[in-house]
Amino acid sequence: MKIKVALIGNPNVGKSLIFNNLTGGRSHIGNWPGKTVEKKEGRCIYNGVEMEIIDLPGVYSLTAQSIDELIARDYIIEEKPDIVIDIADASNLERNLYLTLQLMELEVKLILVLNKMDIAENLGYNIDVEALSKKLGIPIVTTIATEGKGMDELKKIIAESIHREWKAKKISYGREIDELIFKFEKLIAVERQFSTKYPTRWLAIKILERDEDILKKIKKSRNLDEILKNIDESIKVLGDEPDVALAEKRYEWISSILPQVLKGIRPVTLSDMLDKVFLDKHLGIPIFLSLWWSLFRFTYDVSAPLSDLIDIFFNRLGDIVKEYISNEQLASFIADGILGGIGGVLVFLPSILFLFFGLSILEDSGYLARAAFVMDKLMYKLGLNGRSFIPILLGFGCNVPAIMATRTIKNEKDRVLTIVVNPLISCSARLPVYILIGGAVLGEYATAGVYSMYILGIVLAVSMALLFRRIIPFFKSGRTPFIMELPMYAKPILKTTVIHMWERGSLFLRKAGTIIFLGVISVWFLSTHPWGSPIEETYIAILGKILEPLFYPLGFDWRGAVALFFGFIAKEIVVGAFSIFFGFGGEGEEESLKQYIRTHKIFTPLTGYAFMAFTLTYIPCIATLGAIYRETGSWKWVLFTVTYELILAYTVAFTIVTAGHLLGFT
Amino acid sequence: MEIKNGKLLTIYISILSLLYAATGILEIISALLNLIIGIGLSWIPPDLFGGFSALVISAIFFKAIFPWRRRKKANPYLLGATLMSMIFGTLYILIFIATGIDAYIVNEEWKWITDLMRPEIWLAAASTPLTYMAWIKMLKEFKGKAN
Ligand SMILES: Nc1nc2c(ncn2[C@@H]2O[C@H](COP(=O)(O)OP(=O)(O)OP(=O)(O)O)[C@@H](O)[C@H]2O)c(=O)[nH]1
Ligand SMILES: [Mg+2]
Repeated sequence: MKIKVALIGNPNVGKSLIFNNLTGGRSHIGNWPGKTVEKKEGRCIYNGVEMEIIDLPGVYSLTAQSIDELIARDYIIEEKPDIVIDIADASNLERNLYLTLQLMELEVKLILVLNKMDIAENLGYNIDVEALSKKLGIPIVTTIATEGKGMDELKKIIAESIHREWKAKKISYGREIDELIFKFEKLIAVERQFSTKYPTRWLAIKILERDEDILKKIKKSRNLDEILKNIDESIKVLGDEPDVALAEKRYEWISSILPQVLKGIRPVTLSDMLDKVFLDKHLGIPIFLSLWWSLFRFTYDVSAPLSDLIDIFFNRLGDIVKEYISNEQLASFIADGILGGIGGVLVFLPSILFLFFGLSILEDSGYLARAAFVMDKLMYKLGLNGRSFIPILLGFGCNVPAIMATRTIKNEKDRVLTIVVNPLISCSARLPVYILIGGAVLGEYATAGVYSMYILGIVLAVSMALLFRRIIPFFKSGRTPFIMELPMYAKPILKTTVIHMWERGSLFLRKAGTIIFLGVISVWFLSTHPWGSPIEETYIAILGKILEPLFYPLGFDWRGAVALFFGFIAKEIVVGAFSIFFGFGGEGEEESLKQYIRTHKIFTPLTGYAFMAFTLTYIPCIATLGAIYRETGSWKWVLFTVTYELILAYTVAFTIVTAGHLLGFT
Repeated sequence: MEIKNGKLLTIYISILSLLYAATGILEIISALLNLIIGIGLSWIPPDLFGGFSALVISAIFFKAIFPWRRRKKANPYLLGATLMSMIFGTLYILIFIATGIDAYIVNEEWKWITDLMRPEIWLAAASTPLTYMAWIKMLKEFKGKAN
């Protein structure tokens, strides 16, 4: 016998952590709302009972206004899990119970989990669990997911639930509204197409709320005319915003029972105090910029010894290969192609791991949510909608998950806008290019150069968003109010931070072994054939020379042009390609790649910087284009992104070169 | 130092704020000079964003001076300022160590004195007693009242 169990709850309450605890799964955990945007499945066996457990996106309500809410609600209504586990944050009962009430109305078999009991206790809250359970009419389990506390109890109660029945209490909305609900209920109950599929009272409430999704479904009703007539009448009682009126009633109900089950008032916490500083009206954004600067110094400078070790390792290995393999082609394939090309990319593994380590600390500590908050406030003032900055900050890691994170944005136009500007946010794949070129030509300003690329990315993304909103009719929309819930700060735990870092870092390794490998090997092949000819006469040079005129005004030679061309597959290939081009010819083994670029004037500080900016902007990688297509469901937006980014990249690089010349740089 | 010694504490915080401000301004000047005439101020790292960060820390310390007099409870800005000071202090020490190791690996000379003379390292050291007070002592007192 297998039971289907759904985990649902507000964002950031610990659903995924509980899911991982129960199933041994690997759902992403972090300290900001909106991480899980797709449902995840796992398995768990307790006392011979097999459970299929589903981790759902976090939702505040079941109104189906955004994609994540729709996923969660549809799952519960359409898939009908045997048990629904509502996970609530015990330190924030009032808000969390709102969802509980809606689940009770859905008449599912419901268990309430009060998680984060440790935080609730620290805040001095005292929850009368038994009384609350009686008031709601559902069983309650208390847990501390971070310590694994209460997990066995939870499994037990789920396993036993097959033999138990219980009914949640009905919430009264007051006589007048209750009567309206009853009227709709009677109309629906006679139709089997509805009554077998949905709980009738819930459906009645949704009709009363004029839920768009439900009104569409109700169109098939035989009693449609009468239902519509009743809806018109209900306006007299509920006014223009019936969902708001009903929400108020639910909150009233919650406030009426809370004092009976919850003792203690929320004191001022350390989180409140830190927020005074980190969300400070004037200092919030400067603090964000300095912390981000420290992240890049950490990424760039502290990882340097490890990168150099890897570099030396691959160089030695290449020497050995060339010495012992007599077949010239094979030796070149292994030494220059595989070791040179892939080695040239892997050298950046430490930097990428350090970046992810830093990002994970910012994420787990709760600061990421604050950074997004202060920036969103600014964006809102600029006329953009809030809630877009979490995807932007996630883009620093990788644009693909960042684009998926836009699912929490309610307004579809804002969502698409956030998606199409996201590739401008500098992901970790572009980091190697900055480090290589910046390190080669910017000297002491290398880190500043890298950092400025990230800032440039943000500035460009915001400017483009503003521009598109102005000039493209599709994006014109009213502003939705900006609310964002901030989690409590938490001390990052080394183990989870390292796991996070590794999860993301291993993706990079997998990429290096697959798509980057193929790209780099192609570059090697094209740059060594026809075999034996000098590099200027190889296939790749022919391709490069075709592209070169395009890039001539920017000061990139054919090698830069070709590297960018292959970087379209994955941006890491740009450094792999350079490493192959400049690794040849045995110009004295001592000379490192960076030195070669500098001494042979492949780039000047100015054209190098323009090249970095061009790499930042020019085109999203294939994976990102795929994500744009999946999330917008249209090739139109993919094409749009590619086009505007190419134009923008050229404009930006050209501006940098021209302005630099005017200022007297070469 | 006792928390009640408001005056001494105010002076301590003010000095830190001033020193961070000076560091920030000098680092920015050094960076600009370096960019324009190719040489910065001696002993002052030419670091535009680093200087900016020092100015930010200075501003937080500055804000920590004021709410102090009105409420003798824990001071949010003091918590923030010391935290930032520690983050940057640790960062520059890590960079110092990494540069040393790197110099050894690639067989270069390590100008360790210049690296160690990063003012933020010493300012972090100077604010350690304050950090201890803000994060350990005051929070304890604060918790006692909350529960
Ligand atoms: N102190 C404490 N922290 C917890 C507990 N449970 C979860 N957390 C923390 O809360 C944060 C959110 O946990 P997740 O499991 O990612 O939350 P989620 O509900 O899946 O969040 P979304 O997917 O964004 O909706 C993480 O930082 C956890 O470490 C708990 O019982 N006590
Ligand atoms: Mg989750």
